Amino acid sequence: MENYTMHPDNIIEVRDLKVNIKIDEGTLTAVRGVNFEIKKGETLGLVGESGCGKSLTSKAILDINTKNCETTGSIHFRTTEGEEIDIVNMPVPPKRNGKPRVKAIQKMRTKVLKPIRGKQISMIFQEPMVAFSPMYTIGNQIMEAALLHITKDKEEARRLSIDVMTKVGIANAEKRFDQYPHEFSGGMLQRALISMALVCNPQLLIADEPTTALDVTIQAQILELMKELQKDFGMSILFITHDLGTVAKMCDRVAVMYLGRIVESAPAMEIYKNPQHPYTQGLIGSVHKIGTKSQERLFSIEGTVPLALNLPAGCGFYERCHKRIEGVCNVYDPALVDVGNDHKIACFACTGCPNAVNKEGKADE
Amino acid sequence: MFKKKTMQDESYYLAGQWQLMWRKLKKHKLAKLSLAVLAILYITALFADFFAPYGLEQFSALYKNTAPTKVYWQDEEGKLSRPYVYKLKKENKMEKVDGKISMQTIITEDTSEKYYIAFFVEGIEYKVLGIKSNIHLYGLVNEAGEVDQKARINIFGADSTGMDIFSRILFGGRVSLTIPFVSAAISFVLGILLGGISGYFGGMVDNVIQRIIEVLSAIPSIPLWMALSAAIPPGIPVASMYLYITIILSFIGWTGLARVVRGKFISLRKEDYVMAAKLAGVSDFKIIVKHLVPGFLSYLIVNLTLGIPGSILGETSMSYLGLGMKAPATSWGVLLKETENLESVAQCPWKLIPLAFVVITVLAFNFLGDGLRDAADPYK
Amino acid sequence: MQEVLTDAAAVSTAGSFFQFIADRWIGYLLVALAVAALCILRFKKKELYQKLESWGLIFITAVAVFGGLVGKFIWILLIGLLVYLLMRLKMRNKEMYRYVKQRLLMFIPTVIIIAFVIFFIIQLPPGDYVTSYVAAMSAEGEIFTPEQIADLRLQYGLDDPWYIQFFNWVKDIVLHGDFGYSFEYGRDVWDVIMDRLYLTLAISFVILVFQYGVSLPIGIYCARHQYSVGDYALSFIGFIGTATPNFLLAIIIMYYLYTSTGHVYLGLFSTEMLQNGMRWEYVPEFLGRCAIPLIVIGTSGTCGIIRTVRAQMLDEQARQYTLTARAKGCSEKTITYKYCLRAAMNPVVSGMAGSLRTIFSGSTVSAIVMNLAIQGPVLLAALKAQDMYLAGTTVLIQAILVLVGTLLSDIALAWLDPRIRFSERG
Repeated sequence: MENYTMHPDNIIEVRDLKVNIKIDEGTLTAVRGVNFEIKKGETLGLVGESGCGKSLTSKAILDINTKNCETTGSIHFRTTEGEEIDIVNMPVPPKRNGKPRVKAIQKMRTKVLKPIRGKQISMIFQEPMVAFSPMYTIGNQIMEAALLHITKDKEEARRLSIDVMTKVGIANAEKRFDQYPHEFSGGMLQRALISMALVCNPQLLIADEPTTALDVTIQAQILELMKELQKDFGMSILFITHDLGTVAKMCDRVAVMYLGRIVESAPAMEIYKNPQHPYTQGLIGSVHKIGTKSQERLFSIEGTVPLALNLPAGCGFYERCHKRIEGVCNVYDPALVDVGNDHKIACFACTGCPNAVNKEGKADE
Repeated sequence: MFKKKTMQDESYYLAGQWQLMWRKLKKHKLAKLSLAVLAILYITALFADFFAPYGLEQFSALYKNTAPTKVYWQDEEGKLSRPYVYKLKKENKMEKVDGKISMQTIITEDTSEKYYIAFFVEGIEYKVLGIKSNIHLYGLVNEAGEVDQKARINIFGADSTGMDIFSRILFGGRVSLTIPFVSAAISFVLGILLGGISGYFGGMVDNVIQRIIEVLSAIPSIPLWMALSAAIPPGIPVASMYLYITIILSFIGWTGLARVVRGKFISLRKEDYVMAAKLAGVSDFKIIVKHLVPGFLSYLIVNLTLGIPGSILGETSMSYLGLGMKAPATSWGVLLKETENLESVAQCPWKLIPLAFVVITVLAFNFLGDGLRDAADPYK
Repeated sequence: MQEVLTDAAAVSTAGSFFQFIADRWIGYLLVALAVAALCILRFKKKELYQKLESWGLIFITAVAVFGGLVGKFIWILLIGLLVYLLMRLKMRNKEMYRYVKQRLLMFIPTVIIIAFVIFFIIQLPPGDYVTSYVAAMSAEGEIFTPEQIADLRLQYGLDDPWYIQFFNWVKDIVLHGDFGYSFEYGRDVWDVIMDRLYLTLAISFVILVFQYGVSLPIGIYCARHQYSVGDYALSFIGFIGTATPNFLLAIIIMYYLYTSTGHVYLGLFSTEMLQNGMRWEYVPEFLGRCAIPLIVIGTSGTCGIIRTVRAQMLDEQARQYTLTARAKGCSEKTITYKYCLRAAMNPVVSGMAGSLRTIFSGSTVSAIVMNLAIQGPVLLAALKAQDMYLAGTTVLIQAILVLVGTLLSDIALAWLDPRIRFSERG
């Protein structure tokens, strides 16, 4: 753990990330060992159904999950100063009276994370309508980020915020700066939210389904805007969505998540041309494409995502999979395997997957 | 095993609103405990005749203001014995105070005879739920094993008429535990009705009802209750007194509920499913009863539970002031009226015991309400 | 007889307590000082003045009300202040002005309806003061002829139907500021009420401040440390506090003090105070005596507020915007105090009028138990003797105060929460 070094191109490397949620019924492992990395200036799309752990993964990067969540694994992030920080495992502060004190650890984490949150990694949330506090003006809330990280001068922070607001396409930013969230439309609020995320010029932007709550025309505008801004600011984006259409537009690489695991990851074009995992195939099959015949039915995946509580052994997709191999898929958990071309798959049944060879031999054990 | 798991999942998804609520409530330990406590309180109040060793007419001048009866576990030689008590006796004592001789009456234990505590003994006859009986949960028997009313066992002491406080608490529970319930039910109906009308129709009706609520909720409740109960004609039978008090207590309770219901109606009125029902030609009344009310019924029940403690305390304070239930009737407030001044508390601290019952009941309703609130919240 | 004497003495001592301050010109001096300080600031340090102005105004208001209470010009002062504030509001914030104006206009009809309802309830008991008076007198052996009784009725104006009586009552209040005649005391109702009004107001106000001062920090603490030992302990105390009837708490505390100190702490004033009037050396004991009603009347409300604050804070902490703020890099402190607290204040502020109402309600019974020289005992006696104008006016004044409280808390709410301000515009 201590000697871990990041690949020089990467800005963030996530290894074996697990998030456990403690609920009344027991412990729910919502993220079950996720691995991915993002290069500088790259956009990674994280795709999956709702409840597959996308949002938890992204919040784990900022360490803003609720108190009942427990994160293990590692998230290495390269700061602007070139330092490599593991967000999950921080160096433990010196022990006093034998036990490391919870409060001291908390303090330490806050100290390390403070310059990162909002400054180097920032986040755009799903629902812009509730992401702002209704009690303060939009300007106040955007400016706050600038005041926390860049400058102590209110006038300068205000100027900076208005600049960014104008840049993200909020007309009449001077006036809108002093308005309250309820005076904004959904699309405008999302723009405001983006400007709040960008005001400190972050290295990595996490966009958690930024367009889900918006209507289609606004969606397109926002996506276009994000792409432009990425060029201008030169940042990396972790783009989380359940919509494969937007992924195609936005991302360089795509990771498909299912039940807290990444089941397939590949460059965006590769995923579309050559989806391997049955789940990915199902997802792509369910998207309506221009040119399909009207008689053709859209593909739909049978069943629903099982509850991630006391999961049975084996592949999480086993129950719903049409390629499942009995005795293998419900016994062993498939690992993510590189099949070349930066294409990784976690599936025993997929061709080219070396694990599949063993299926006869190990099935009877 | 796998199959069973899915079955469980299935039942989790398919459980109705009430089932889910019940399930969550069962997990709330305090709420469960409160439910049990309340059940015990209500059952003992209902079968007060059985649980209480004495009836409401059985008072004894000798036992006036006496402390809880001492129960002995050991006989004179210090051996463990069947629990027994002694009878009290009056003794006249001459005393010299400042050179003058004065007579003092002292009540002491008469250690000549033992009375044993026995269970399921015969006592005064009663009728409850149509069953006639004279068996009481516990009582005293003399050494020959016969029921003897000369000695008394007052586990919580006796009041100023020589009545067993424990028996009175149980009988008082009948009034103190049901008045809040009935008045809460009245408030409930009134609140839903008026709040619903106000919220659903809006406009002028809404305005009028809102003004009424505003007016009623501006007047401090105890002065209002006092003023209202001053109107109860004196010397009326207990039953109608009960009715009056109930109505008075529900006079204020409904306003809060009506406000909540109105708010909910206004927000729900805009929902699509109500519009859909309207377009389908469903009548206003049916929309309210079938579509709107179930949407927040659980919420209302929570509100109701949390409102009950207020009226329990209200009844207590009113009886205490002499404006609520009055002496021939028994309620916890009437019992507490004996602690009116400092002297009586200083002399007979056991008269505060009924307070424990008030506090426990109020706490139980509070905890139950809290548990219900958590259980009714679908987002938890 | 003894009781009546001490009662009267207590009342006059309460008066003398305020007189005590007035005599030393403290009230006026404070007003003058505050005004002078603000004037100096205005010309010397304009920036600081602007920052201070709103706070200064609140201060002046408080001092002026206090000074006004002592002097007789309270009404003029209050109305002047109100007009000034309204004008200021009109210049600065049109929305708020419109909102406040609308609420003020609604105030008058509501008061009239309240007066009507109260009068109706008060006259409900069968019979009237003459009936209970005659009954009391005949118990002492005095016998009235029917003519005498009719005469008495005529004299007191009790022979009219109740709605005419109501009309006359309101007419006299509006035209002459005359709230009627207290049969029992043989004086004007207003004088009887004024005897105790200051003390009632002072006690209620102190309890209100105490309640919020104690319960806000505790509520916030409980929410921030949910399920900690402190949270459980404080919540438990809170529950017990709400579950114990005020008046019994009073008895228990007095009993405890009696057994531990041997003194009986009845009322706010000791016998020496009653005999010698108010002096500086009595102040500590007076404050100590004030603590008992403070605890007794304040507890149930305090516990209620703690629970509201806790629940609201927990609600707000779970909102999405806290996540946004955290992702932005805000510290937990900022999130709690800047975002959550302000949003959580909403129901707390709107509950303020309710608290006032509970205080009046709770103080009524407790005052009877503790023999405080405030309005509760008078009200009970008036109700029992069917002294209806006195009873009616007492309840009416309390209701009006609650109404004023509602008005103020609504305004505070609009100031706190921009959504309310704007919804009024549409």
